[in-house]
Amino acid sequence: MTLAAPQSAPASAVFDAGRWPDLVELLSRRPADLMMYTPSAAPETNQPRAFNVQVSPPKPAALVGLIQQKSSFEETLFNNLVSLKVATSLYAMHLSAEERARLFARLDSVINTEDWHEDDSLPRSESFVNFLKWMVYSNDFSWSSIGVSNEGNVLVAWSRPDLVLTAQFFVQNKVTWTSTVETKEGPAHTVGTCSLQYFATQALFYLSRGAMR
Amino acid sequence: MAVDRVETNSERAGFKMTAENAIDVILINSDSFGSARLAPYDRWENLVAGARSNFETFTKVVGRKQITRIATRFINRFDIPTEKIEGHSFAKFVRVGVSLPIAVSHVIGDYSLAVTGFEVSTGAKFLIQNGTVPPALLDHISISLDIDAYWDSEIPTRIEEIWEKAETLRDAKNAIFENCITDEMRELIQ
Repeated sequence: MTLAAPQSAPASAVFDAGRWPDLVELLSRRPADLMMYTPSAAPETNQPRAFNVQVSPPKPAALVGLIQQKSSFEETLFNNLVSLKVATSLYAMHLSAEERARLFARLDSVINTEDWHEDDSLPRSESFVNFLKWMVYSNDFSWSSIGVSNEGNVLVAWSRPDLVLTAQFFVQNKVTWTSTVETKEGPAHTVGTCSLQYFATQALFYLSRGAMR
Repeated sequence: MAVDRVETNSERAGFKMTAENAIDVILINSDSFGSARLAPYDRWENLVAGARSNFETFTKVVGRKQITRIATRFINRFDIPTEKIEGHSFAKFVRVGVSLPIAVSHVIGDYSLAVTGFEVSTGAKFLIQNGTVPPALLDHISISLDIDAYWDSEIPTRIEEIWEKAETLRDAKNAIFENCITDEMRELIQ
């Protein structure tokens, strides 16, 4: 048996994360290192389907975590981008292929070496996950753009000819939002802070054009 | 008892490599090599084809090793709307679970279990882990059904025969899955 309950684990262990194309290089360059590692239970997150060929008898499992190898800024950005995309896999069954592709394209556009500096706060996956949760909950996939706040929270905007709605998704169950609606009497501004669930009600009010009636 | 000092000790377990598509993953330990696929899932045939290709690369680099275990692991997460589970037993959705004497509690909250056995139709060994997990969606509860089907004896030495043996694990994990969920769950995940 390769798996054991975490509470019986003797020590924690870590996975080094790396890019896929490094497989041959990794195996070629560091075969000796591979013999030093403690066997781990299984993928620790994101619930992958695994097809696993084990080449020696299993040993007791350990608590498994994931750390990034010391890497360049470019690699750090890549790992951050991949972590957001992997987070999306948790919601793949609730997203269309087109929506998933649109999210990935936007993430690719936002997270790049030209626009990011080493001191910038990278996007927080918990914040991004809350945005995904909100989308599935509200069943509204009409966002126009995605950005990142100075703190690493995900910013989302919905732009229409007579409406601009923006939201900042926090790592907790919290959203701060603003709306600007063009009315006959001039622009109307509103701001709010609420839960993800209540923001669905708020946002859909604006996005369904309820505020313009 | 007061604790003056807490020490932690961690050591490298292996490598996890994620493809740029963020759904194909390779896991390398000192004694195992695994290919994994995240959602959205693909056909079994494609999963195996990828695993074979990765394993061929692995073998070219490190050479042939004696294989002592072949396994496939499917980690299923079910998201159940809160209003569908409130006031009901988990047995409404999964046919594996835990029970408590009424004298202890009238309700079962979060739970987890692990059970091993031999799958009836194939004879493959299995480890099933089932329980509640942190909800992935708002106003839902999530249940994990983690199926690890494997062979750890009488592993053939010829590579083609190894993969043929691995193929039987597909039937094992399918049989376990289908027998562990209810029609209510089938309706929910359709």
